[in-house]
Amino acid sequence: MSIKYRCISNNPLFREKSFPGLEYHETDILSLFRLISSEVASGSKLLSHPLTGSIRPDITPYKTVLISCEKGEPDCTSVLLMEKAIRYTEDLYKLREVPLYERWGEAAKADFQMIDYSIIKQALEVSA
Amino acid sequence: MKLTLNKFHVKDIQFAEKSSFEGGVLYIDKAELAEYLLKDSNISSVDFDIARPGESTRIIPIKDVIQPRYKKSGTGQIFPGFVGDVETVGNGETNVLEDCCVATSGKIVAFQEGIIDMSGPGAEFNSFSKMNILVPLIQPIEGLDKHTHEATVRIAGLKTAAYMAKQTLELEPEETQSFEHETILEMGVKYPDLPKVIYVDMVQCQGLMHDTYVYGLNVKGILSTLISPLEVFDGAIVSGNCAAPGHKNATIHHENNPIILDLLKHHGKDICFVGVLLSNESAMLKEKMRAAYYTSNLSRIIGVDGIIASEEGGGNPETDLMLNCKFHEQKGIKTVLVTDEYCGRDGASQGLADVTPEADAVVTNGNGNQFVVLPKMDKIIGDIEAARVITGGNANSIGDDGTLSVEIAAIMGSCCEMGYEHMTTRLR
Amino acid sequence: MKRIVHYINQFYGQIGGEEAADLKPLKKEGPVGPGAALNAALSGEAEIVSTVICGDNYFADNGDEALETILAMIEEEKPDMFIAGPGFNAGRYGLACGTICDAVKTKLSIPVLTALYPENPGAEMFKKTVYIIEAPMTAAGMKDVIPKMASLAKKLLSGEEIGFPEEEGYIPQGFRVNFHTVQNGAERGVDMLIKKLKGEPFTTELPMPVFDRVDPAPALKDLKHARIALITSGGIVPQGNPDHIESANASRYGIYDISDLSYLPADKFTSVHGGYDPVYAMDDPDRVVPLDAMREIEHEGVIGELYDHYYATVGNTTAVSNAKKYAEEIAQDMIKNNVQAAILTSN
Repeated sequence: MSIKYRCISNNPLFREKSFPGLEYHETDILSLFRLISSEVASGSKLLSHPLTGSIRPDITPYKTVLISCEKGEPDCTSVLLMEKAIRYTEDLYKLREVPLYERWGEAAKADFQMIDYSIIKQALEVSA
Repeated sequence: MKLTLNKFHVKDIQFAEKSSFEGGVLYIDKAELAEYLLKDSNISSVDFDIARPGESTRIIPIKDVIQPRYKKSGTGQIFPGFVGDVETVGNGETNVLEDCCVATSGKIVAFQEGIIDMSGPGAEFNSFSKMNILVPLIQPIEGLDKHTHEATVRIAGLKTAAYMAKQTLELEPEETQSFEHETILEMGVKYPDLPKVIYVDMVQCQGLMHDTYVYGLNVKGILSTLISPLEVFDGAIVSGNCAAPGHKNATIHHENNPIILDLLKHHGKDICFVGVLLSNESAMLKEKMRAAYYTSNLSRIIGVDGIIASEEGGGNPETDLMLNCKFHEQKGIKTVLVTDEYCGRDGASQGLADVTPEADAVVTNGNGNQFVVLPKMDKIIGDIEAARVITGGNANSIGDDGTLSVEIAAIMGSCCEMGYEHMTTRLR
Repeated sequence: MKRIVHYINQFYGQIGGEEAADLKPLKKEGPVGPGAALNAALSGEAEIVSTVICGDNYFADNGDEALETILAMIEEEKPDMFIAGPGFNAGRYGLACGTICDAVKTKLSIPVLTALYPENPGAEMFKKTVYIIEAPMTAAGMKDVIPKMASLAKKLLSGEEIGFPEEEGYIPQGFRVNFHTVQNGAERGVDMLIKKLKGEPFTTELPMPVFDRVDPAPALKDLKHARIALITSGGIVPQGNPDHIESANASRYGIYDISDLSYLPADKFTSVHGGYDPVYAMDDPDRVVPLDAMREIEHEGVIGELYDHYYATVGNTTAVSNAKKYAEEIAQDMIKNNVQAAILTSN
């Protein structure tokens, strides 16, 4: 089966699992969102919401976003949603001098990775 | 359908030789309750602790909060799909322990938060601090994966709550509260002139520690569906949602859904409360669109004049909330939204991740980003390390004197998006 | 008794109108003009010990220097508090009130207070840092404003907790704070829904950000014969800034001839915008007003012609109401000159 999405992620667990369609970036969520924002501006469509799950982007170090392979005219909903997600994340990054996501130990990081992974896996199961 | 809640007010919980409810005191035989829970072979050991209002006690991390209920009569049993079978609930009599709850604790993931302080400034941010709390501490067998671990703790909490309420089964309640709810067709005849109202209950279903169960079914991927308000009172909706304690809907919130309770108060007087539409919050945009279109169409098919919608969590659920608002308003259905905000330490940021101009009637349950200094407590129930970890393991956030500086988002139920608490934000 | 220094402009200082607007800062003992009523309303808890008076234009044109002089005059009095205005909807006066209050608060660490009309640029710029009592547009509302100023001044002086805007009369500073309510959130929501269903007025607890959306005009049918104009809010003006467009909160716009030019030469045009680093714009003003590119497509015949003037103002903190006014006038001018479409560039 061909893959209909690009999986943009900073979560190393996806790399470990050789997740199909993965485009891994070793960076923080805000930079990842900015990168996705430029993909969306050039015509990719968001398939998943950038702010998946209930764990805030200033708390978890990892987010994974699915976008379309095909590019067309820029999709207004996707562009606006990315803008809002970036603003939301920027504001939350300002909450503390050192945002929480930079402070975790290995065990916590592994758990964050697993939850982010579980969310994307479940999203794809439900919405094939 | 008619459901009567037989209410028993709990003044204290104590451990005893034999479990019983006497003179407002709930006595718990730890050994008997442990034996009941240990029937689950995924549990290696279990212990219990008690927290009482006003004590210098902190419970952390908390996974779920559950109100003890047990059905005395009617079909089905409490928490259908978990404690009871999947038979329909929401009728007959249900015994309820008031001023009392179960808080499941124990470390499932390393960063988990969820604080209940029984005294001090943290106690002002939720109702749980005013309750007598039984805390089961569940130790799983070694090597249990996180999904199963979560499910094990979830079910143990429900069983504990059922066990506690069962102690009142042969007793006369201090107080009863009855709810009657007609079929939709009957309502149409009975209240032809009252505006028809639906409650859209958005529940999160996104993966590990982000799921919600209805009659035991993980409702990920469902089309929006109808449920009777009375079924919800019998624990038909159970939380498997362990993230974002300040604004997740715990099982106790579902059992006591304040929006349903208030709509029932108005039912037949100034509105006709038709029922509850359950709609899930998916991670995928197409699912979000589908859910909001489908929900608003169900409202239209039923012939609703207005809805009130609540969300669970923050970030992506705001998109579901706004889509529900937009699509309902476009169909001429008046909409009120219930949410909370993350508007920064000083309250100057835009606090929602998504907005729409149609959202002209919004209730907010507070700013989760407010910081509060929690003093050292004499007793910690749960995991002492969690207190260190929730603020990112930064030594600076824990004072030498053991005080803890946290956002109120870490306090269980502080900004409950069903409007369970008494808080809002005001512009200054 | 607590000591207050009061600031007013040349008009309220009873020195003169527009003709006296270049007045340098001066100080008088005791209250002057509206200070008398304010002093009375303070009912003996505090008094205005001296009044600083400055011309509106002098303050606007002499920026930091004027501010330094005024700050020194205030500091000499060792005041417990500083009050400016009320400035109502007077733009230059309002900006002065806001600027001085903000500076006094930072430098002297004493409470400050002013009163302005909410759309006054001084209010828009400083409401976050300075308590600004909401004043009506004109001095006709003086008698309503003074008691509110006095009441809030007393609270600020005594260190009493300051209430919400609706109670104290100040313009909301834009901070959302948690507040405990009698009704729970669900009851408030259901009440709101019932009101909404009945068509009764209700107040949302969380107003959505203002969506000031402008529907795009229909597309041009014939670009090849259209006359196109350039507009900028990026502050590109001829060298010497002939219209004296301010670097912030612009009170005017300019119309400049480009009929003989194929690009904007750096020695003839410059940027007066105070809100961005102008190095690249000054190096090549076409980067903000793309005359060179327009001439190219005009030459290629993509558009009919470029209108031989361009319009310029500075968007930096300029009040939306003012920007709207300039836009309406510019649109009229375009219609008069048969312009069919325009390209607006910022910075």
